[in-house]
Amino acid sequence: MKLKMMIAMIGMIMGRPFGIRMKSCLDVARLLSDYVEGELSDAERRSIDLHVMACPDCFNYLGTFRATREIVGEIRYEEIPPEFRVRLHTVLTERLRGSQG
Amino acid sequence: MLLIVTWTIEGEGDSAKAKPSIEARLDKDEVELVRGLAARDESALSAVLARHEGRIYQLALKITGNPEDAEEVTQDTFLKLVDSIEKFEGRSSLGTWLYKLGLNMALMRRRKVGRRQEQAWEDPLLAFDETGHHSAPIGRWRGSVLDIEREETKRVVREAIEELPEDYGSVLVLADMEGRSRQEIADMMDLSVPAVKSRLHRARLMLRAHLSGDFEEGGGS
Repeated sequence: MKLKMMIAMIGMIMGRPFGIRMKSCLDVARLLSDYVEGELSDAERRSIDLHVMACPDCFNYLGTFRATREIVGEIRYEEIPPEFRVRLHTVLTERLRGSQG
Repeated sequence: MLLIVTWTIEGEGDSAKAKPSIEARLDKDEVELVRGLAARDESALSAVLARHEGRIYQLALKITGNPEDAEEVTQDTFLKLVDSIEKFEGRSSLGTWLYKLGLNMALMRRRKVGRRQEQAWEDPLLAFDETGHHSAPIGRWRGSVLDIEREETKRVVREAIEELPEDYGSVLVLADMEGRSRQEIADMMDLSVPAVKSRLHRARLMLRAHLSGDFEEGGGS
């Protein structure tokens, strides 16, 4: 494992992953949702960890992918406007009464 | 107005199958609300609105991206409920039924209005060369864009979500904004769970690529 890590670090310095059986950047991109949601096997997860350590592009890709997901989850939309709520109740009550009997 | 609350028998003779009534399917509170609405009880209407109007409005706003459209969708959804409560069979909870109806109405509204220009979205999985490497360098994002309270971030992200192709944007909204499970989304959109997962993943990749144009260090706003 130490050797693999060393090779990965060298790959990172060189700007490209190499030397060990790793997934391609495309393979990593395909699996990112499963990766961030913890749905991969330990072996697959380790394989991606290794690739990301060695590949600056995928390191940034993963970081911005995570950020995308977090931002989307945190973004807030306006609450239902109070004046619309009043209008909605009026319209629906009238419809309810109109359809009675 | 009387609701059928006994077991309904489908077919005749030995092959008859018993279908449970809404009482067997829904919790007591919901049965009361459904009965009340069917009896044109205004307090039942108020209770249903209090429970569900906010969620339906927010869903519609996320899908349509426009407050006026969201109001119209919300109103149409509840009008449909009032008009067709007798047909409500309780196959799902009232909340789930309303949510699905609201989703469909919001999607229809979005198509009808066509406020957003359909963009040509590049498949993000094509942005790799023949060896599987990124075909262009991937940069980091500026730290400031991660501040979700920043108005510029909110605006850019909301617009990007609204501009996603409908098949992808709707799944993203339901999963990552509304917190719906893959199974719930599959049921609401008549998709398989693997199809939901695939659309969600592509939606996230598309959005990441789109936001990079604005958020990467050294470029954008």
